[in-house]
Amino acid sequence: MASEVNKKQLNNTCGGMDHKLHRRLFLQGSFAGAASVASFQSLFSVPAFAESAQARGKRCILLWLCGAPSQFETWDPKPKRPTGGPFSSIPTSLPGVHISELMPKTASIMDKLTVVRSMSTEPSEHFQAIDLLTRGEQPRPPFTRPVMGSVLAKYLGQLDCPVPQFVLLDPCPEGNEFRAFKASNWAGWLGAEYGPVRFGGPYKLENVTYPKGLDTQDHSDREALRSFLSKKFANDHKAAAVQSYNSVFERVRGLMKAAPLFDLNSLLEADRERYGPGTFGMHALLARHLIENGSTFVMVANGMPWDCHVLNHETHQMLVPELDRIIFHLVNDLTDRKMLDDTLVLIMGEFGRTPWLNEARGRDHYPKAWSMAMAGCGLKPGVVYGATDENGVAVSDQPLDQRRLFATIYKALGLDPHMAYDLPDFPPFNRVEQDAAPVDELLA
Amino acid sequence: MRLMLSFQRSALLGCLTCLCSFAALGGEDILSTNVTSSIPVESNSPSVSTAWYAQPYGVDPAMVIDLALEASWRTHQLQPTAPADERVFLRRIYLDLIGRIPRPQETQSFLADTDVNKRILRIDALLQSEAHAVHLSEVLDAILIGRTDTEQLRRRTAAGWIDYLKRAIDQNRPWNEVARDALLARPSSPIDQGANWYLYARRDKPQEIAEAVSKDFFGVRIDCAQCHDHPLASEIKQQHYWGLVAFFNRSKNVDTPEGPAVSESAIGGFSEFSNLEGDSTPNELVFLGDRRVEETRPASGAKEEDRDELYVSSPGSTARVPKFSRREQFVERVLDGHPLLAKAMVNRLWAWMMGRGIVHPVDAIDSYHAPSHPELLDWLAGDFAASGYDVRRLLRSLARTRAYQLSSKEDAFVDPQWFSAAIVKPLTAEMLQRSMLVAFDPIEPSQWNSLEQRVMFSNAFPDVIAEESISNVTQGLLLTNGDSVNDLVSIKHSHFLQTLRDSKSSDASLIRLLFEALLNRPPDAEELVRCESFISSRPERRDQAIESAAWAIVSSAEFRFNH
Repeated sequence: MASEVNKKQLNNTCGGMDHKLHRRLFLQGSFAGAASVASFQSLFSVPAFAESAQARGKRCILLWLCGAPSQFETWDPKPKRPTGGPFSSIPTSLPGVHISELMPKTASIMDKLTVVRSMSTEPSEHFQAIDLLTRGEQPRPPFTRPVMGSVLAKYLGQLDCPVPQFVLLDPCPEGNEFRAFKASNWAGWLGAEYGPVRFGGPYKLENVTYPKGLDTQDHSDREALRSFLSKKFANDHKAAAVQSYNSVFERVRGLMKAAPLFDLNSLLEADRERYGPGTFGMHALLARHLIENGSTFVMVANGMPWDCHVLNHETHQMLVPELDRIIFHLVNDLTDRKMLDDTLVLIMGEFGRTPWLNEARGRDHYPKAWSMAMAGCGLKPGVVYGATDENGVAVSDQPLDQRRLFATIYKALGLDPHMAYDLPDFPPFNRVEQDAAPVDELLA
Repeated sequence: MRLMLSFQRSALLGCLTCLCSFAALGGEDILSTNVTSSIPVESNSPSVSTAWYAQPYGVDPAMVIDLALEASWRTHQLQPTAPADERVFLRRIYLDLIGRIPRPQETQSFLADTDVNKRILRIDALLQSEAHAVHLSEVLDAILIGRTDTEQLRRRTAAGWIDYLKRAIDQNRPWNEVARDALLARPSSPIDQGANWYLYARRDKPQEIAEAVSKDFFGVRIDCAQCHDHPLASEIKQQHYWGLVAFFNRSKNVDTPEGPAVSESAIGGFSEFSNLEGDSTPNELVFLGDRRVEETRPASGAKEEDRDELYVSSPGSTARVPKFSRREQFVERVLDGHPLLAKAMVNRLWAWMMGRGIVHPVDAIDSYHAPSHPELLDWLAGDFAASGYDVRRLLRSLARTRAYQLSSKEDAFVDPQWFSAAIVKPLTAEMLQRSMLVAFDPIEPSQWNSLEQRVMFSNAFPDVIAEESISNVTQGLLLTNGDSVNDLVSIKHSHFLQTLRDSKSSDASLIRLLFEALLNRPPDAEELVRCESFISSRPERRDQAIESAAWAIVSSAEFRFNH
């Protein structure tokens, strides 16, 4: 039954030949009349067109470990060192590389992963760090840089796809600073149409069927009139709030079509068992499902459970095995479906945790030396980049900041890391600032 | 005296440089004649442009605000937008002050009014209406306690909280008294019993109380000082967090025959908090600004004994009142006259009217969030306190400022922090719902006015003075496909649409009436043609076409925002 649903959905999606043809026509048509489509101008300028043709079909899943996991209990164990904690390390499928014993499944697929052990960033508070590690730059008010998901939705995404291009799966609305961040303007200067569709927890998709007495045609005629009136107003009210309001209506029809994709019950029982019963696992599975069906960027969050100021080891003992299982199945599933080459998986939080323990046996915030992991699209698999010293206090080799990380990610996805945004009345902004270079050793 | 003189000169200058606009505003205060669409010419006398913050408290705040903002526009070389026209102005004050759009007849009477003081007269009339009290009580309820479910809203209402707020606004009770009522929770008369709900709603969780009190009455979020001194705003100490907790940690919810109440114990509530370095500190009674209350701590290990003589309240009473009451100490010695009490309310009401706080976001009045106009905020806070925390006077002043009455139309991106264009504000759930009801005039109002409907709307549109207004797809789906909206905007359920349909008027005049009722303005030529043809091209389904056109207008951004 469930596979029946899946098959039906696949016909609706954006990967097939029909779609590609349609999209090409669409692009050609619009390209000829680019001047009349002001808001899409930057997309249709020649270099951007070339770029998006090349990058088309590339996708990204971000497992957002909000609150910040400990590198010691995951990717960069320091067994038997004073800072190492109680867990040992285990060998992996990469000769000579060890990771925490809490991640045995992931250890068996290390040859598919690309791990950075030398992240080094500045902000040590959640909100500022979440902001930095999702947008790639420090804030510069009043200008709001888009988060990476919005960038990918715009420059990799498929304009005519009913499936939302940027989805935030977030079953848990809590988590002080993350909650505050979620209320901020994610799409920034790209415009609200590139903001996320949120789902999970309180974000249930309701009202996805036609109102009584309205057929499809009535429904879209009515919306066309609404959109005409509403955009007239938006023409002389440039506030992000107004844009954001109009953009949600543009999504309504697509969401009505795509609503079955968000139905957790339509996922195969066997898959659900593999990913585990928790909401994080279920939403990681749903992320795979959405990516398979046409989404470009899916961010899987789950409140901010990783903020282990108290009882770090016990908390990691609970959380890391779940993460281990999810990474293992997600990467394997994408491999089996031959999707890993086009799908980039990012696994990270906003910083790492202190080498030392506090009085509550917690580890505190530590941006100076931390780890993150990636897999898939455009990356060299089986690489462990950078290193920290014997106690994990400082980066000892190949430090990497968020700019170079972002440059690497964009390059891996086929995007020019330094593209200049076309923003009239704005100071010059680039996709990644200061010409930060992508890391060649990480790229395929 | 010198100040006043230079001030009059400034007004005079304004009149000379601009003989245009806003003669209609006139009379009430001299500065409103200075309203102009161009930046006033810089005067030779420096005191003209710099003296505003030296004005004594008690002068017209609208005047001070105008001078301060005009000075900042000059400094930043900004051209403010044109003044809002009469229709826009009217819609704006109706929404901000009584929470709904004006009815067509209210607009017509305003347009026809030739009184030069008609703007201020209408502002005053709205501020004195019962509708204002209802509206502002809803706003304050959402800020002070927050969105909730049907059951909680029922309890909140039954406890008298909503009525308390309504009466406080209706009688224009000083804000410091309202704060005192809510935080002391010992009503001097049974009629104020409802104020207890502010603390009672926190269900005996002193940390939740502390975080709410700090945000609501002091405009400061202290949540993250729970584990350490605030890392970004160094004046917010961990001891303030735990100090504020201590002021409320002897309190306990009780149910009395008079209603929900908050009892207080005379003993206990001593503990130590640890920072991340593991240092322990006793939780003394201290809060921001180092406002401190001395209290004798029992020796460590000593057991305190609860005795009747420690209480003012008679033995056996449910809501106990100790002789040394931490809550009482808090309102007497911390809350009373605390500079943040005035500042937080000024900043919040400013944000309510202007669309953004001088400190943004509104509950971040700390050293990390710089105010856009620090001297102005200080002046207004001082003046607000000196006025006896007069909320209505402040709202009235804000509504009369030039900045408030500017057009929101802008042709390029403008940094909102300078208030050189009116900022569009999303309607709150209640405003949206009430405006729809006023426009469509349902045949069965109770169907749309029910507690369930209110809660559904307020959960779908929870924001009140949000840091950023970001719409979500849930809202788009609700407005597009939701039963309640589609039913309300139907000829079957709406008096207004029935009358339109039955009026036998031309499609063009029907569209005009729709625009007047929903958007408070006539359609422009393009809109008229488009909407008219929408209806005329569907002769066989005319009813549905009328409903669809009405839906298209009511779900457009122009209806959704106060602009």
